[in-house]
Amino acid sequence: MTQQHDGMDVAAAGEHSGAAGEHSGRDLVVRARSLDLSFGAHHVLKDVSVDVRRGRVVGLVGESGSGKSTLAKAIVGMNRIDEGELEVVGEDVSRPSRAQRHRLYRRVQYVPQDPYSSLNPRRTIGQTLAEAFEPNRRTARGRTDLIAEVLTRVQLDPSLASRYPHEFSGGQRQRIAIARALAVGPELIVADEITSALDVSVQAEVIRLLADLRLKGADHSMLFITHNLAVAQVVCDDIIVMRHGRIVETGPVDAVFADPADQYTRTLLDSVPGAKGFSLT
Amino acid sequence: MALALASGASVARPRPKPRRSRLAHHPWVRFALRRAGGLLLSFTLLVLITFLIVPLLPGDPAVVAAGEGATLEQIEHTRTALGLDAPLLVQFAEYLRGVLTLDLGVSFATGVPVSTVVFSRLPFTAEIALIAICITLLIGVPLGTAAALLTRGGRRPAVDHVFNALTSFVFAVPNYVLATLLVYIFAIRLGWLPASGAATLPSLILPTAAVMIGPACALARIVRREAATIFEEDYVRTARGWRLSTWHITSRYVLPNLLTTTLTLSGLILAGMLGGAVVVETVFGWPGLGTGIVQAIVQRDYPVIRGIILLLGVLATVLILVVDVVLAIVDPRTLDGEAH
Amino acid sequence: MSARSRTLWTPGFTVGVVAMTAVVLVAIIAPPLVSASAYRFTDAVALPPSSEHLLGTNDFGQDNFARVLVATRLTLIMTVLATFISVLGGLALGVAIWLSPRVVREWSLRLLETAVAFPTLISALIIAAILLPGATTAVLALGIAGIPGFARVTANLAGRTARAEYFLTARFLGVGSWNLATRHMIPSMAEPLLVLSTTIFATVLVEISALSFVGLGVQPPQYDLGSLLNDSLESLYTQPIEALGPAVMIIIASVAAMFIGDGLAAHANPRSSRRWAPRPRIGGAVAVPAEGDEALVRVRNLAVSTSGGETELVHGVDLHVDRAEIVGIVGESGSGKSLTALSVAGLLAEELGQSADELRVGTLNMRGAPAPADLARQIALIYQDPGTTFNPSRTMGPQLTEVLRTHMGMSKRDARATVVDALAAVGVTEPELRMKQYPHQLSGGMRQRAMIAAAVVTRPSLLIADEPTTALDVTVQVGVLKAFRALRDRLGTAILFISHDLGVVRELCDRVVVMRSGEIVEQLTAAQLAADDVSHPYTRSLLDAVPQLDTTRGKRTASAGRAAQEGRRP
Repeated sequence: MTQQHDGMDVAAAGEHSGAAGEHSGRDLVVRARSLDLSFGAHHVLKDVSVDVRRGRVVGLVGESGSGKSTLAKAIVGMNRIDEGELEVVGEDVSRPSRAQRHRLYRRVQYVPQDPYSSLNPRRTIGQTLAEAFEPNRRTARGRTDLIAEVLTRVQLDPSLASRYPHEFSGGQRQRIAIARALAVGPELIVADEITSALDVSVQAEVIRLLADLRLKGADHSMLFITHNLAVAQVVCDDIIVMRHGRIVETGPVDAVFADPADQYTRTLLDSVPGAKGFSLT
Repeated sequence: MALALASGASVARPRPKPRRSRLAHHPWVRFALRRAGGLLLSFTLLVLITFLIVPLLPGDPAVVAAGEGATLEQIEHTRTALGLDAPLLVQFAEYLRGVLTLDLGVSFATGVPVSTVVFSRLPFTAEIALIAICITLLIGVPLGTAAALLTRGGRRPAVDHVFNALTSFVFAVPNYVLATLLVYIFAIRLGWLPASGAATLPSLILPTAAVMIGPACALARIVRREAATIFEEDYVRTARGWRLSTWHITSRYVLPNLLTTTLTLSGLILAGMLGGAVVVETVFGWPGLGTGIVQAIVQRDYPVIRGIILLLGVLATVLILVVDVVLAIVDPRTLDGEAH
Repeated sequence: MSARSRTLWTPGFTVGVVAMTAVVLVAIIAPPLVSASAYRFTDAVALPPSSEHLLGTNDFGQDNFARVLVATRLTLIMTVLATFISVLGGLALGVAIWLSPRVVREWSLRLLETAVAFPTLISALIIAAILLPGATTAVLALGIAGIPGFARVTANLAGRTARAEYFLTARFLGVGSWNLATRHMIPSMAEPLLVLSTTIFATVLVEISALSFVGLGVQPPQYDLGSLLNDSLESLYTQPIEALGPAVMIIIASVAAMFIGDGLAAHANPRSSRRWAPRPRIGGAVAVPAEGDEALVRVRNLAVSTSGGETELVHGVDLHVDRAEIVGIVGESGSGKSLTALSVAGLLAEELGQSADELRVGTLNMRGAPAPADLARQIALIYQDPGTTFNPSRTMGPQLTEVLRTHMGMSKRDARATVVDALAAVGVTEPELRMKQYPHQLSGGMRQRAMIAAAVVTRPSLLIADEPTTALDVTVQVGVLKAFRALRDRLGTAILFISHDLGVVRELCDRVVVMRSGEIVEQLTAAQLAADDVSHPYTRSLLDAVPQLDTTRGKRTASAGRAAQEGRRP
């Protein structure tokens, strides 16, 4: 079922993340081989093999029930896989022990979908962000500067650090959540539908932020889970299409979208209102 | 395009038909198995706890059990009667055998078999508890629904306040205080109803009332809160869109869903009413399990204590089981779920 | 309207605090002053109330009022101690359970569940049976009996916090266990546990007195409120006043504790306090369209405000929908698009104020009170499907036939046949089976098609669809949109289509109304939108904000993602 995209861009072949290829472990932040996972009678992941290369933004797209969120959670150690091998930032997390999960902390960051529940309502934004700098053992003064720096980075006024989450809009909160994840300097960020709960203009704000960060040379690897193909195209370098727990297709996002090798990918693309193949008749 | 989009191909994917041969996959069978497991756990706990009452007695259980001023001979007699001379495991095995064969020995105080004592007292407590439970449901649910209906969407704030204050106040009055007041007013001052005796129907009225009034208020509050939530649900909005009358919406859309949540929460209230019956019996000199256990504790009559606690425990467990089964019948969704 | 800022000091809570303070003060101050008359035997036996003996005296000539005051102290002391045992024991056990490995945790929770189902008073009786009756026994019995309940709530709260996303993200930041507990876990549990402690205090007070009341608690010569009440039972015929003191005192203390608990709980979970303001009906049921007004729906100068009129949520909206026209209303959250649609449907929430110069659908005057049957036949509604739009405790059949049976006088069988046909027509597979299924057994796309089927069986002139495809997958969305289009083409039903998705609206609608902050910003025809012929900057920004899928290799259209694309690596 897994097909490596055979695009025209020959030079790029084998360069992109996605289908499992021959890469040395040092290049890869995620290396998954033949993952299988079931919840009771539901077989959620079937023979899933993917690579995420260092420094790439990889989109994981699919419809509800495709297993994309399950895969993401397995990668951050929140789901335990039944079969297969899973290496994340060089750690074997196939069947993670508590200690192995601990070793992922700080090196892997998870940004959840809902900006309203990802920030502790009882703590100020400053207190929340401070947790990102904790192990550095900086003085309180140094920490204030770091927080200010982080807030500026996501285009928020540093004086807002003393405010509580409910005083911010959804888009601002999502920016804070992203800033917090970046502040740790992780090797991998897993972003789970982070634009889905937002209004379009707010969504654009978050997309723009992600773009700005890359322009300024942020060198993070990111797994970007979304059901929105257009957003995936804007944000990602490579794409992984999932359906019913299987990988359907992988490749550089533009190549895949321009010339999908799999029928399902085509159907998915044609279902997007405004797309070339879309029709209501 | 191969996929027929118009028919929603990805949704209408044929599901594997449930294999009827695998009986264990039938929801009712799964439900029964799960509940049976729960029952077994409860009963095991009950047997274990009632057994432990005697070994846990501080000091030498035989001395305590024989009571103050017992002669050495009496103490040894008690020791043999309770089987305390055997090792703990043997004692437990013996006790378990007794429980399973309904042979829990004889009462220290009267020499009558425990099962006879217990089962002769059961009907009196069961009578009060069952009637009280039925009336509680009959009063609590309509009262709560009516309150929710009257105050929905912020209507009639006065009704809201009165309902809250009144139910909260009445619920806070303990059943034995209520019983005392009821006896004074209806038996002594007005002379309408008997204050004691368990023979006639009128003698049932006061104890039942004392047991049920508090829980009925608690239930009404729960029902009202749940109903208020349900009035805001999407499916009620759908029904409004179909321009159904408020009565229609209440009876077909609110009440059935109310039962699910209410029953789940009311199992505990109803089981708690057993405790209420036990206390209230004292006021009315009612010869039920409540006065029985109090007497037995005062007389240190351990076989009877064990018997009554076992029975009360079984009653509470069965009551909650009944609630669960009714729930599963009313709302098949609870069949699937592990917890509600 | 969230009422988080609402004061803790509601009348009930104030009464509770005042009463409890009074009871506590009495328990502290009174006993030393009155102990002589409470304990001394005198010849003044069984006196009626007098100025000297407020509640008379008992059979031993002791002052009843004094005895109540003394008893209150013991009852309160015992209650406080037992509550401490329940709370501390429950907290320790709950935290221990939460910290233990998964298997242990699950079994412990199950055991707790079983223990909690057992009435506390009966658990207390077991402990009283083991220990000798007395004050200490009563405290231990109620204290221990309350532990499982508190432990279960503690463990569940801890579990809930541990699953909270902010807790999860904090862990990913590498925050240590101690800091996780002190910063995130304990603060989130403090409030509910405080409320629970108050409730436990109230319960313990009542039950500890119950234990004494039945004779298993405090033993003579000591006495508390419960045993005092029991003593008075014997003389209830001859000296009823003796029962009054302990009865009233128990009630005051219990009610005070209950009111304090209620107040704290209400403060912790503020329900939205809504004010209901019935809207006046303007005009009769029938609206006569103005001369030459061919439109099916006509809205002139619609305004929607909060009940007091403080905030205008929608203002000055003029809108019309022609017969067999599909009109889309787009906007972001808070734009007033749904409120506008609900006003047209006559289903605006009752606490909202509404005014309009004209508001009609066909000849139905939506400002007045048209007959429900007419409304049901003429206007159909479809909402977003988060899986909760159908009554979960009934099968689909009775729900889908509801309108036909209630408003069109159809027999059950005819209604069923009609709906089955309609289901098949909108692409529901196995319609007969679906009628017998419960909503949760259908997929989201299926339910939404069923909703459409229920809407079309009355052949309405207007269909109002509020975000009908938002919760659906894109491949399913296509099918549902096609069903809408077919409905208009076959039956000539006009559709008012509310959506936040410009892409969807652009594909489906004949005309698009853009709303923002309760006002109409711009109205565009489908052709204008297709030609990108928009004038208002807000519409422009909205269009730019939507990333466009580009399936042609190489050149990309301008969109919000422009910067993003520039930022991408080659």
